[in-house]
Amino acid sequence: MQVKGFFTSEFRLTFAGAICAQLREPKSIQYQPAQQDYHPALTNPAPLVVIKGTLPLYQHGETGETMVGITLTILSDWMRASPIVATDAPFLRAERDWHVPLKPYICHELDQEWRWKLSELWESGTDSSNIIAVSSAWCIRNVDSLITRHLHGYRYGIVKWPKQWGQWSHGDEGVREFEALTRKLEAA
Amino acid sequence: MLDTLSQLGGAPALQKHPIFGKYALGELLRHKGDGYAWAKGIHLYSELRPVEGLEIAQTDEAARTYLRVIEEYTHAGIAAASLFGLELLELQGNVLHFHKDGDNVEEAAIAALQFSHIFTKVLYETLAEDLGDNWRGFAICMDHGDSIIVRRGKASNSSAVSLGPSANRPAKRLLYGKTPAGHAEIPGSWAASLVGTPCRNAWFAINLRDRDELSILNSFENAELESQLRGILNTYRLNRTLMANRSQPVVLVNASDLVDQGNFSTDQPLRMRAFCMRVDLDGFSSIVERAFARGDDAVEAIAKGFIKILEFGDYFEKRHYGVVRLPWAGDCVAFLIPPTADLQSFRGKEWIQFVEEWQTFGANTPDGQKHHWAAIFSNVSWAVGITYAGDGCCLVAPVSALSRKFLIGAGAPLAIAHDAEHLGKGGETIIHSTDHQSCFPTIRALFSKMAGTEFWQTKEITLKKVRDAALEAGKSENASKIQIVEKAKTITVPPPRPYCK
Repeated sequence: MQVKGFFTSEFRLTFAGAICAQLREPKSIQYQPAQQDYHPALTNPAPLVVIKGTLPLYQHGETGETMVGITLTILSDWMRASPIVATDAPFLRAERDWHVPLKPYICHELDQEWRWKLSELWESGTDSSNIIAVSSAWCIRNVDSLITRHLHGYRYGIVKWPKQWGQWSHGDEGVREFEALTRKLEAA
Repeated sequence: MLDTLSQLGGAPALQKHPIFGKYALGELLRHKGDGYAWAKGIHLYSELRPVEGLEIAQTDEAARTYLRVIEEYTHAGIAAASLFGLELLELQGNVLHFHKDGDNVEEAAIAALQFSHIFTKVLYETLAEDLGDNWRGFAICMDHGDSIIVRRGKASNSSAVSLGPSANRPAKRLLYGKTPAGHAEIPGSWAASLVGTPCRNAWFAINLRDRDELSILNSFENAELESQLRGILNTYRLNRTLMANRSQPVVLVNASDLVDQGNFSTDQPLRMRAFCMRVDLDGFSSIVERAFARGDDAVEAIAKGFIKILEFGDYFEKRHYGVVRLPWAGDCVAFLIPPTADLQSFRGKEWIQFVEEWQTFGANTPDGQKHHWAAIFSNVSWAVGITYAGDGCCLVAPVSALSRKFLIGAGAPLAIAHDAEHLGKGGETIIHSTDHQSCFPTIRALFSKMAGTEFWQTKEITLKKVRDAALEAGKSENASKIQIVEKAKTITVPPPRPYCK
């Protein structure tokens, strides 16, 4: 556990760099205090890492012609919680059913699933560079996927999240669905 | 009652003809209303070769030059037709369409060739000299047979539409660009009797400007008619010069600047940016051919049915803001569709609604449901060629000649839409590579490249089909896979499933 904690804290910037590498200019990485207040900021040893950049959309048949600005905030325990993502995409449908409960933030991933997969990679002794490569690509792919689905909704007049597009149910129900899935996978 | 009112000056002039009926061809062309003629004779097309390449609509200067040439060419056509006993049916862009009545093929063909010879001779001397480098000549093609000529409305874009193989074959032959300038092409089967040269090919080309090659051209000389045609043209040119000195140059405006879109297309020349959608009714020629064999009632049924198709064309034009319909050319027609303010979105997807509405005969519109246009003819469908051709620059202008007024369109979108439509079959939509590139990726995937061409093809495209494709593409399993191989072990991650508390 101590080694995993060390990896999480020491490789956070590497993870951020791997994400940043997948974005287009203009882009930046910066440290940002977790709190706005002066005193807590001074005492907090783990400020946030914020990545800003341009994301060309490539998922669901897109070919990178549409680009959106995104901001990813990497938390200190990034192996347990996926990055917080906001986008300036003008076509976002600010609805909970579209996984945008509050514009401009998008809910691209279930944290339990993120945690489970990264733990699995860690436990199986996967090379650290591969953990970084897989997790950063996974994060960007999911962000791209959700924004692209919003784009298609806007372009093709899809106003209700289609049943055939995968998602986890809202709230505890979604967590239960995930747990049921992992139990099934473990049993298999 | 109406007679009394008329004497009092309070009632409109009485319509002597029935609302829709059968007429002799000459009467039909002069009669201002709906009707048809069952004509037998020669359909003769004369195509003026591109004057300014495809740059006609790029500048006011080029547009004016083009209009001047077309006006003079049309005027000469009308004058020559009246001298030689032909009827000018239509001006379709840069193609004059004539008809020479006559049951006897040889007699009608000799008259048509005499017309062609003198028309070519005089115009090559007068227009060519006047235009210098801008002159590319013109080509003629003709065929003989039955045809139904249908007329609806009386505006400048109301067409005298010719239906039947004798009208269709030479038009297609000419528009494929296979007839050389300065030549007249006749069906190969006529060659032996008309020019004494047996020909096994479908078409035989006569060089109208080389009397040494074909001595028969000498017999087509008619000094009196030639002199009359020259006289008419000289008078017209003199008057045009005087008018040009007195009046302002032609004003060219952008369609988007016009407040009243209702009837703008008939008033003055316009340069506009638009998609050109050219449509062709596939399977219709065989229906017309069968009607000739079945007689009067069948022919009238075709004419009545086609009037309804023309009505659908008018409806389509009026339904959409700023759309211009050009005159029908047989069972083909072209529309200029100005894109809405958001060009990217229009080129990306919105154009499809126009294709869909046309191909379904407006079945999803209240009027389509009321008029049942889709049920008029069975087993027919529309081939569509549609393009913005880079920048969508088009020229639309009414060309006045004597008492007739014709609406013409020119520019790259028209030429490319024409080529596209020719490649398509019923139900298909053909677009150019530049348009394909401008489509949204989901729509691009619905098209396939036509081998050996710059065009892309799809069948029965609808907005629903596009939406369904987007729904399919949006499935989690259709996101890209992330796979890394480490020590012979494949690392994968789950497909994207967003989650929101």
